[in-house]
Amino acid sequence: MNLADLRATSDLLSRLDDSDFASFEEVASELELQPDERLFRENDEARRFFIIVKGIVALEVARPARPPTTVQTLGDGALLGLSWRLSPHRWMWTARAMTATRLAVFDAATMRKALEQDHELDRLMWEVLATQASERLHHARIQLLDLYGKS
Amino acid sequence: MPESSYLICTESPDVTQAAAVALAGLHEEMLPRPFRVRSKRMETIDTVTLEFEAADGGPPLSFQPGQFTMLYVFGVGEVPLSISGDPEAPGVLAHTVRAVGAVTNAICALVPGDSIGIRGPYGTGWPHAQGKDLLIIAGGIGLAPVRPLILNALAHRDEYFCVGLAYGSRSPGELLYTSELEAWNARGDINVQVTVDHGNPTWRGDIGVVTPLVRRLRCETDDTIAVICGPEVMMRVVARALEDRGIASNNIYVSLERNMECGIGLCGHCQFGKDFVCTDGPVFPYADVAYRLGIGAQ
Amino acid sequence: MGWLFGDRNTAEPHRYAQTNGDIVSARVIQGDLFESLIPMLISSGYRVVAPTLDEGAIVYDVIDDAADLPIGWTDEQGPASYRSYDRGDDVYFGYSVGPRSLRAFLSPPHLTLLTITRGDTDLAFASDEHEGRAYAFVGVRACDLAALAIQDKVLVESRFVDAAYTSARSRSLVIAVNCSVAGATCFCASMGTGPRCSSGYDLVVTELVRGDAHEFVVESGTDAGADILGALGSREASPSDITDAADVSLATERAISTSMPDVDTYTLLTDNLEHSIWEDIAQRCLSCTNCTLVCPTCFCSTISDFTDLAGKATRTKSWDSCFSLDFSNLHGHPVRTSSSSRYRQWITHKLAYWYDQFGSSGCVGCGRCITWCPVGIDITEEIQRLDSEAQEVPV
Repeated sequence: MNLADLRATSDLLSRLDDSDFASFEEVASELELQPDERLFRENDEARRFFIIVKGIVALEVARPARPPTTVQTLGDGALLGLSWRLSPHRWMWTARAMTATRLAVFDAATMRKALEQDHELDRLMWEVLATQASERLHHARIQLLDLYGKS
Repeated sequence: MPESSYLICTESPDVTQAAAVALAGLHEEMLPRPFRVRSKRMETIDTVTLEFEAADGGPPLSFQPGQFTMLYVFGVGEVPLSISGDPEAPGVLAHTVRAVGAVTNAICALVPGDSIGIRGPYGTGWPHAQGKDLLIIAGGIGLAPVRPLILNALAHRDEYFCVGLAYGSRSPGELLYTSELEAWNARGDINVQVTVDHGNPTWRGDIGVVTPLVRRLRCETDDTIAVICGPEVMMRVVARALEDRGIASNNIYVSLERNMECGIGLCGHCQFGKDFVCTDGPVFPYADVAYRLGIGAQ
Repeated sequence: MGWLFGDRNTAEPHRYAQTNGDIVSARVIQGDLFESLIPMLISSGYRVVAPTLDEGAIVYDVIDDAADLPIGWTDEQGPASYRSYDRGDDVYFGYSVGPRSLRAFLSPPHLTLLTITRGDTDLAFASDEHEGRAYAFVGVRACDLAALAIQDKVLVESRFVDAAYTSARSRSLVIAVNCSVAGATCFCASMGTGPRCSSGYDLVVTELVRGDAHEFVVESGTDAGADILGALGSREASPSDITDAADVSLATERAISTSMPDVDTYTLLTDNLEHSIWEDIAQRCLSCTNCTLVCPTCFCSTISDFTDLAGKATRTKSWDSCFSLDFSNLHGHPVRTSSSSRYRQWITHKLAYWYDQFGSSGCVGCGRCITWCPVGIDITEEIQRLDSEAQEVPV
């Protein structure tokens, strides 16, 4: 899949050298989702990860007697999926397209195997994932402050 | 000779020169003018936009985007409020007000025809960004003080490179100026990004803090002006995100809030370190206030 | 007698000359100077404000004649302590400054700003008139002259002008006194403001008691001062009069026992905004606001509206203090909730941010905040302590 347009905006792709980037393009496949279409479900095995080309994907949780609640959305260029790299490779949230969405899809097993071979790339991937996790934690904490509520 | 003696010898003569200006000063700067409510629009469940017109036949109240006025409701009190209207149509003075205290509740309860006192405008305005990229990041009611800047930039769109707006709110129902946001987005020449902390079943937009949206705002030049308006914590977090993407802290501007009573730097209530927010601000370069914002109780 | 040196109620405001503290030309007037000067000022239309005894303290207040001056009285001051007593002589100025400063007259504690009337359709706003009789301030000390200059900078030369202050200030006459005693809390010398008056006066007198001779050496700083001096019976000062007058100031300066440490208070304070000393001071500070009320340069005020049932409201300006909890209210919650943050606000404003805002220290070394603090917090001691502690533990 051609990922050239994504290279500048994606935290992951922008850090790859040309040969790694070419490998990523080689293994990437494309996926299109309709609004409301589910991408993965919580507790399912995390067999893939994604980079959003265009669109908005919600991370949501099912709740009794009310519609699913979205905790966060991810937009253009975002890396979607951390659980594929962390044992036991199980999704923590359900992902659903909010708008028509185009994604680049990567197979987790292939990627994990490649990372076992290439420690330099593995270190880079960990750094990107840790940054993602740190940012999401930071954003969640900011939301806990309920800044826009009446003080 | 100690510095204070220098003052002693130079100050006194100037007292007399300033004296002539002084008495006029009270009338123009501290004396409210009567205004009347011309129209009222509900923005959210607790926020309204009111348009006022002068009731004294006097000139319109000209202002710079980012400035504020003091609004007085008879028998209730006076509050500082940022102007949210079009700077090129000052004949209609617009304020977007959230009912949080006694005075703002009274203002939100006004109806067309009601009388009110207004003095100002006071304070510093947003920087001029003509010939540059202009990024605007607003949170909650903080969209109101940047609305004059947005209206002005869109009216003179060809004078800017990229113009982008990232706006975060608590929920879809608490978004201000929703039809305007759609209209701006439809123009295609301003990148409008909106997010909410909590969505609802019909919300199809982003959910989460406003910070990640900053990355979606494009810049064409190395000369980007970013303005941030919202809760203090939100402004600090966004400013850091802007710095992370290479915007210099002295090109980032924030609008601060402190207790303002006189509006002209003489009552001391809004002091924030070396500044009086009412006259040295409310708009400050982030570089100037970043350290102070990190120290509590200032 | 208004023709003699101009009536300040109608005359052009005057300029103050600078004398650099050197005695250029002086006259000597007998010990009954004030017996003739004060009626002269009153008959010229001035309200004379001078030191007088009030409830056991020597304070500036409006007086009717020289008998209201605290002749023969003195005071004894220390941290949290003030005592006045009759020392049994006929010296006019044998005491240091009391709790009231001149801002009580130039920026009164309560001032009506405007009147608001609710009409049938609209509100009407009318400014209050501030013109009143001009003040003649008599017996003003060097520290208070420095405070006047600072208040001018704040209230007259800022972007916006305090109209009431400016009107009263520009019409006032200042007759200063070189201090002949030093209070235990005085530290003007270390602030560079005294004890000798160097500028900002129309007349300055030095009281000389030499054996049985009781005289005043009088110098004028302005044309108005010279006119007054000319209208009083005087003789030219001899070189020994001038030397003796200078010696009064030198002796007073030597007697000053308190001093602001010779440190860069701006850097010291702004580098230590989160130092533990603020908590330590807060253990003693009562947030009573006394220091800000006696300070001659504090200018904070609050605006209040008083509304009656008949559709009229009055807007007043009253003294306020950064030590009050609700002073920093933001959306109904104070920004500075703790005593430590409020003390830090006060001292950093006086000794640091004042330089940014107005180009000088906000402290003149009058010592009032030390004397009138009910727990005796000494601003000079706290700076000394912060300086030594900040050096021990680098931040």
